[in-house]
Amino acid sequence: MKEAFEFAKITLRQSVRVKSFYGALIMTLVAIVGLFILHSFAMFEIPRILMNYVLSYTNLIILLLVFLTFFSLIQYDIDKKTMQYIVALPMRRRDYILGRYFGLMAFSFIVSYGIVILFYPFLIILIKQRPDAPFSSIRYFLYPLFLLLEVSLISSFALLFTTLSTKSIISILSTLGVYFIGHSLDDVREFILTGYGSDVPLFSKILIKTAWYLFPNLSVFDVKITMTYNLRFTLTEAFIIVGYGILYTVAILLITLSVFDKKEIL
Amino acid sequence: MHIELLSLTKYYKTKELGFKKFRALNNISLSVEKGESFGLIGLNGAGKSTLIKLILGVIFPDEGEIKVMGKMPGDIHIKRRISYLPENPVFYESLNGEEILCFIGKLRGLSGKVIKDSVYNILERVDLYEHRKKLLRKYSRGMLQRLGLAQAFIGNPELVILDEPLSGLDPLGRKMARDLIIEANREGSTIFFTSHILEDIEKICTRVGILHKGELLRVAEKEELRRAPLEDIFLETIGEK
Repeated sequence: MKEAFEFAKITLRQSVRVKSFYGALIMTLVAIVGLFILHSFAMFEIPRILMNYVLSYTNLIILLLVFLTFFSLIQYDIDKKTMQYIVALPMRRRDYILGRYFGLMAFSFIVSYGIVILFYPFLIILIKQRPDAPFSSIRYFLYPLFLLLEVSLISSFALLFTTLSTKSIISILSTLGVYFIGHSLDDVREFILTGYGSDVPLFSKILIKTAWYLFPNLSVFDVKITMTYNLRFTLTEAFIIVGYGILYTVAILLITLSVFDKKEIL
Repeated sequence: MHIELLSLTKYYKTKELGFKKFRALNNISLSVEKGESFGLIGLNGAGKSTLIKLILGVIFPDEGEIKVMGKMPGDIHIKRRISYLPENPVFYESLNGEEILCFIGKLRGLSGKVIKDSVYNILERVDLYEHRKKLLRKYSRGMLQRLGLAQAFIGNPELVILDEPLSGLDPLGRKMARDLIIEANREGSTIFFTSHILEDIEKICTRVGILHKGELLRVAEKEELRRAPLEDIFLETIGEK
């Protein structure tokens, strides 16, 4: 485990040195200015509008950064054949997978909580000026946790595809595919189950239902509206989402470890 | 015995949907003793890098058996005692030289002050101390090769596997690298070394294997190497003379 920890530190160092990270820092400063502009334009429900703005921004930046960083790292590992050298180093193959996973998760944690903490004082100042709707700091700081669960699941899939493919582009496209399917599958399934989907051929229905069980349902982690509008969100619901995210991630990581253990690094 | 290969055969799938197989290594049997400096020579595509990858456990044999220090390749306890320099070292270019060496030093079991001392010492040996904080993306090809040598010798590994370690180095760099390898060998490290440059092999190795089209045609012993130039032995063995 010590080796995985050391490799996670390397991954974290690499992540904060990827150029897109500095781009994200500049974008965040611009987004803070945007918060003030939005405040001056908004007519009512200021806390909700501003919170929604910050959480949407956090969501966008995290997913963008994780995709860009991860893809830049695995592109290096696969295409430049660094993985051959890494596998020959004094660490187990599983340390590579776990190191990459935990390093990336640490990076995502720092960036997501960095953004919400950075925005928080400005948010409070602006909300206090026009407090025309409730604002919950707990819900505000809880949101990144669900975002991290989604990132965790996507990262584990990205690692799985990295171990399965010999070209980084295949791994990148497969991960993007899982992301888009994971976000739209729930809506598609609901559509075919309602009266609107009666014209859908039986084969397509079976295909969609199978896919619904196979692919992760990423829309469950999208709790932005619930948090922003203070909608009912019980502890049980939270535990179910957290449990789903963790179990799915662990399952994918276990498959990845088993595949990578037997893989020839050509 | 540090490396023991028994009837080792390795096939690669060709690109035509993987139906055809290409035999990269055929029935290789070889042993390298502890403390020995063994050189492996062969033309491009002879199978030298494939053999190294098998010894390191990066790829697996189709037939035969490999023992490294008496165990299967890939065993973590064995890996801690082995170092490897790939033919074209590609390290993470967003890290600097010191970070790379500290990372590898920690993997080899070094810690605390020892790791810093070892890293600075080896950086000075390969003339990279002044560049230790520079990101690797700013390193030249020769500097990367010297860093590759540095990582191969940090933590005094018992078995050092070097794939073309002197390529990309200027004459001074080559001398430094040769001295480093010879000194490590004198201090007890086993060296397994591949090169195209016969002169380097002659200067460093005490026993030389000649690999040709995936077959180990000959292992020239110390006495043979003293009697005739390696080039003559090599050309004669592969049938070019």
